[in-house]
Amino acid sequence: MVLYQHIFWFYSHPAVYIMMLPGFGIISEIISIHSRKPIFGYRLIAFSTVAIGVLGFTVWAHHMFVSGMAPWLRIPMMATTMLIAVPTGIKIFSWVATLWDGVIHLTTAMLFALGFIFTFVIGGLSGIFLAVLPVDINTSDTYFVVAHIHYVLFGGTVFTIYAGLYHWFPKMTGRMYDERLGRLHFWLTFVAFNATFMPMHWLGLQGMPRRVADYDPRFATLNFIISIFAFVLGASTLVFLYNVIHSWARGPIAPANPWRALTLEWQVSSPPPIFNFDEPPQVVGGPYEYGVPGARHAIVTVHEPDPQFAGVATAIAVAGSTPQREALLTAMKHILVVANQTVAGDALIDAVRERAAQSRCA
Amino acid sequence: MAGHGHSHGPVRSEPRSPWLHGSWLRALWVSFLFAFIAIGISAFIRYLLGDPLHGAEMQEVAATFGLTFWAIGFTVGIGCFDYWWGYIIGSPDWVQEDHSAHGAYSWRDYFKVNTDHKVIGIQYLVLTFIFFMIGGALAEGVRAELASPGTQYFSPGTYNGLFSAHATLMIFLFVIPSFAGIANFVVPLMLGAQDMAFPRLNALSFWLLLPGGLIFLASFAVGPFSAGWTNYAPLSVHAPIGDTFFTIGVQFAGASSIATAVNFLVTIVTMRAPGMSFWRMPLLVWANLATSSLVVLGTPFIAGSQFMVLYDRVMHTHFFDPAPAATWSSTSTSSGSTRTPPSTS
Repeated sequence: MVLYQHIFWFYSHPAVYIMMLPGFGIISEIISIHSRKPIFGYRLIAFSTVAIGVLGFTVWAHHMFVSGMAPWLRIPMMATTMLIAVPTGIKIFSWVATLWDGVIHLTTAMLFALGFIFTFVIGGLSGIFLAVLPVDINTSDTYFVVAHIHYVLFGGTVFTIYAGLYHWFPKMTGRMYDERLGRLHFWLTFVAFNATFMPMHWLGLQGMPRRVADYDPRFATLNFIISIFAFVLGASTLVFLYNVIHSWARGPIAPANPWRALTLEWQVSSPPPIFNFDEPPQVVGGPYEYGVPGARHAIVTVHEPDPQFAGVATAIAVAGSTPQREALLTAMKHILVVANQTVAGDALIDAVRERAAQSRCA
Repeated sequence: MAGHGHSHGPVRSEPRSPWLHGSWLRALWVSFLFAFIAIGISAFIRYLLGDPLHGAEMQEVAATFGLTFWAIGFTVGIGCFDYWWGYIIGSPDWVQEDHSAHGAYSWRDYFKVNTDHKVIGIQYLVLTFIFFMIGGALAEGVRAELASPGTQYFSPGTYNGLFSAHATLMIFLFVIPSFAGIANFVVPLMLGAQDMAFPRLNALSFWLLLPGGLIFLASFAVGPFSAGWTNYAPLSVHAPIGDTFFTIGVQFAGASSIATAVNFLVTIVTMRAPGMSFWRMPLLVWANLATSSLVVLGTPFIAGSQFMVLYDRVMHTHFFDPAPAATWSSTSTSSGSTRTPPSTS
């Protein structure tokens, strides 16, 4: 029934951008922070994100080229589908231009971000193949589609999730992860991923259908190799799991801002205080001005730490009577900010505030 | 100075019984109570109408109402609605600025309903990673079967269930919600906000996810849904009962997704710190603004499509299946009934 497919894909094509756009956001953060450069084309990246969102609603029927839907719809859907490569390409080029001449720190988060660009470009290219009507008709429901979806959803999305988890791990847990295990995880994942899914392109072009439990013996060798690397890919997750559990329990205590990032979440302690900020921060500039002299994103004011109350936070849970707890909770106003940092000395903060006030008036 | 009004931690006067207050124990009995009441009412109505209380149709009805109300009962039992319920009934314990469930003071707080966006973010990430591991294990099952031609480990039906559940878990319970988890933790901080705009809705979004995922997994107990994650009709309309689990699980994952997206939209538009103009927002925030708009506009369509499949299956509404009801009965498996459904007149 074509009706079901139309309704379904009207959501489920935008859904692939629901599964991809946050990843683009994560990659934009990581590429800029870990290559110590302002992001290239900030506004264009933001615009292209919105453009992908809008265009995403105009391409759904490319999932249905062989479904028996109205034939005239194929060419417009093919055109809009290929059009989506333009804003996506804008992002890719912006990231590469950000990397250009940057001071690239190959942390695990950055490795996953770079790996993402590599695999996502491959997935995007096979996407353009599939957008072309004559190619799609011949590769529909083959392993070529399986390869494409895993290149964009694993090589694309899952890599960005890993990148984001490594990047924000110190902020979330207050602990640093193990870089060596992180790199091992990346290389295992990257190699096993490509070895698993690249051959699926070839299987698809040779005509192996997807979603079938049995297949022609002539596909046996490639399938056996794919299965071996699929198990390696699964095992690589265990490295990540061990790293997370071990580092969360025993890792070195993370500083508030291990990556020297400008955005606000890094200006509070790791992990952040329960109500995040003592006072609303004053934002005075863009978030990516790395290496720009005098540039500041925001002023974060925190109150003086009061060492007298350090360690009381854990006592809250076991404190007995209500007045006792109330007293502790009042004290916590001070405890919560123990690990916070000010971005600079008072005089400098005042000067920046003044400048911000002037620029608002101007 | 907005921060200083909020520095209250958990204010609980005396220990509360876990049977009666938001807890896993209450979630357990309330969820099954809701399910049994729902199944009981539907069975009673069928009894009044003179319809059989056994056979494939009764199973469909029981699965539909039982699963739906089991999941709703779970969110009620775990305590997602306690604050709102206290407001509605005018409970003396109710306080406007109630931060008793805000922030983690020990690891146990991660297993309770919590309104802190940072706690919810970590709850999301841990839960979705568990589903990622389960979905990955299903994929390894697929690859084990495909390592050589012929049938080795799984029957073709189970194989279909494996790849269907793999895709479903990965998409609805790993990729989409793990982005919600990262954004939950990071976006309010990036904006200079103290929390999301609707912290209790945020908690509800998270706790809708778990029953949704458990419903997907529970389908393996009755024979897994096997029409792929796309669940194409009319194949899905005629599929065995596992497919009902899919159509209902999707509703809860989708509702979670929509509620979170609304939350992000309102947070990003209204909760930016002074000076945080749109062109000073980090690109992750921009990405979430665009994504949340997509979810709010798009996700109701998959919810609608799966509702229509469910209605076709349970109520024989014929959205996607033009065949008359008699055909349905003759193709449905092990149905003791060949009667047509009662007309609505």
